[in-house]
Amino acid sequence: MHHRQDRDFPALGFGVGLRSAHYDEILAERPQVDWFEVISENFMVPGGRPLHVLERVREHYPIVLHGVSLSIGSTDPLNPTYLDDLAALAHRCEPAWISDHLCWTGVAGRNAHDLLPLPYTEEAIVHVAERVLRVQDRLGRRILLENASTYLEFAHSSVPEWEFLAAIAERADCGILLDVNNIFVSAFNHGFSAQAYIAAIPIERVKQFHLAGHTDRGAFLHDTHDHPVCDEVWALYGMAVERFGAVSTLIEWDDDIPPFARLQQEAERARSVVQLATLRAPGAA
Amino acid sequence: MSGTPDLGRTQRLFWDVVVAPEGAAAGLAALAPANRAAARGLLRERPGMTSVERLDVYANMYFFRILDALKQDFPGVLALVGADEFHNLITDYLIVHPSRHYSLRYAGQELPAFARDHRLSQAHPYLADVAALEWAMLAAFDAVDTPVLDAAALARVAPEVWGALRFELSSSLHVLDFDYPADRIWQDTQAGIAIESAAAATQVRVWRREMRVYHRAIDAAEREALRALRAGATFADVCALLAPANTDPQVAAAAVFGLVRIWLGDGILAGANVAST
Repeated sequence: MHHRQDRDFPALGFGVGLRSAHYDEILAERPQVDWFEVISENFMVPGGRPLHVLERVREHYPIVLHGVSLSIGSTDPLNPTYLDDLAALAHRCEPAWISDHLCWTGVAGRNAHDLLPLPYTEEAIVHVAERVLRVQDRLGRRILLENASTYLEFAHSSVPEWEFLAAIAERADCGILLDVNNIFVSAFNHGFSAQAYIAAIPIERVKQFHLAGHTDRGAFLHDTHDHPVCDEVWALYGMAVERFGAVSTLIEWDDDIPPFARLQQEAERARSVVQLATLRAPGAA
Repeated sequence: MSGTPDLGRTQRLFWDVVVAPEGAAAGLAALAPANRAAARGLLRERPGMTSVERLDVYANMYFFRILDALKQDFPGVLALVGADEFHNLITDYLIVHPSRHYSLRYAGQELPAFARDHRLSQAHPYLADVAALEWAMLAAFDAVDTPVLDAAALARVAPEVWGALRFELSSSLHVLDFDYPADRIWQDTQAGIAIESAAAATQVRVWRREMRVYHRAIDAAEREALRALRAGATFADVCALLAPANTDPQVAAAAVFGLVRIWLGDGILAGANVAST
C-alpha cells in the first residue's frame, strides 16, 4: 500500500461534497472531515451567501472545485467566459485542484446541464485531449477528468471506455478522477467487467476517487446520488484502493440528502477500507 | 449523407432527439428522414433496453433537472399554476428558450417575459409579475456584495453639502413595476392562501441585506427617487423631482430625508459622495 505524493494533487484523505443543506452546521460546528468538494458552478456567482459560505469553509478545510459545465467533449468552442469565471473562483478559494467530467453538456450554444456521452473514437480522443491541454494552459494547472455514468453506447465507438479515458489522460497529461460507482453503473448498463475497467486504468493517473449511491431501475442502474454507497461498490472501491493506493476519496450525496453525520460515516467507512488494505499490503508490519 | 457521423454531427443529432418535448421516439420521428436514419444508426443495440429507451433516460434527465431547478427558483409561479401546469409551462418555455448559460442558475432568465404571453396568464393574469419578482429575488440573492452606508457617517456630512450628495445604491437593489400587487400575491402563495387579486399598479423594491433577501411595496415617489439616484441624481435633484412646483424647499428636503432614513434602515444605500460637478 502506497501513499503516493503528487505536487499537483496532494493526498487529502476522505472528504464529502459541500451541500447547502449542511452550510449552517458546518459553519457553526466545524465537523471533522478531511476536505470538501464543491460544485464549481454553484459558486461562480457575483456575490452573496454562496461565496460567503465558501470562504468561511475554506478557512478551515481544503477544497476541491468539481465542475459540471466545462463540456470538454463538445464540438462547440470552449467557453471563454466559463474559463474566466472558473479561474476567478480558483483564485478566490485556492482549491487543491479542479476537476470536471469526460462528457459534453451542450452543443450549438445550448446547455443540457447533463453529462452527455461521447463516442469512444480516435476523433474524440484527439478532440478532447487538445481541449484539455488548452484548459490546463488557461487555468495554469493540470486538471482531473472523471468517468461519467452512461446509459447508451455509440455504434461507432472503436475502443472500450477505459482505453478512451486512459488515452485522453495520457495525451493531455491530466489526471483521472475515478468514480467507482460510475464504473459499477456503466458496467451493469453495458455488460462489461468493472474489475477489468479498474485493472486497465494506469495507476499513476488516478488522483481522486468518487463514491456515491445509485438507483436500481430494473433494466438499468441510474447514477442518482441519493442512496448510501452499496456493498458491491464498496468491494470495488477496495479493489481500486489495492491497485491505486490511498488516493483522496470523496463521498457524493446530492438528493434526499441525509444529516451530515451520515456523510461522515460514509467517509469513515472509506477510511477503514484503506486502513484494511494497508494492513493486507505486502510488506505491511 | 452516409458513413459514420463525425463528432459534431453525432452531438447535433443526439441533442435534437433528447430535448424533444414528447420524448426520444417523438424526437426521432420529427427528424428529416436522412437525419432520422443517421440518428437511429448512432446507437449500439444491446439486450435489456431499446435504443429509444436509452435515449429517453437522457431526455428525462435533461427535462427534469431543469424543471426541478426552476421549481426552486419560481416557487410562487409553481404555487399559482400547480405542478401539472408548471410542467407544461416549462415544457413550452424550453422549446423557445433552451438554457444558453453554463450555469443552471440562469435557466429561468427568460421565464418572466415568456410567462407574460403564455396561455396560463389568461387564467392567472399576475403570473408574469410574480415570475419577475422571483427572478429579482434570485438576482438579489447572489448580487455583488456592496457595503452598507452607516447612518453615523451620513450624520457627519455638513448640511451645506447635502444638496450635492450622490448616493450609491446596493448592487442587489431592483425596482420593479407591476400591473398587480405581486408582492402580496407572492406572500399569499407562500402562505397557501387562495389568490383573489384585481389589477393595481404596484411598485416593489427587492434587495439583500447581508445574506437575506427582502421585498417591499413602495409608492411612486420612492420609485422615482430610486431611479433618479441610480441615474446619478444628487439629493437636490431628487428634492426637485419629487416636490410639486412652488413647494417650500425645506418641506421638499424633509420628504426626501424621510426616504433616506428608510433606505438607511433597510441597508440599500452603499455609499454617499459629494458630487464634483
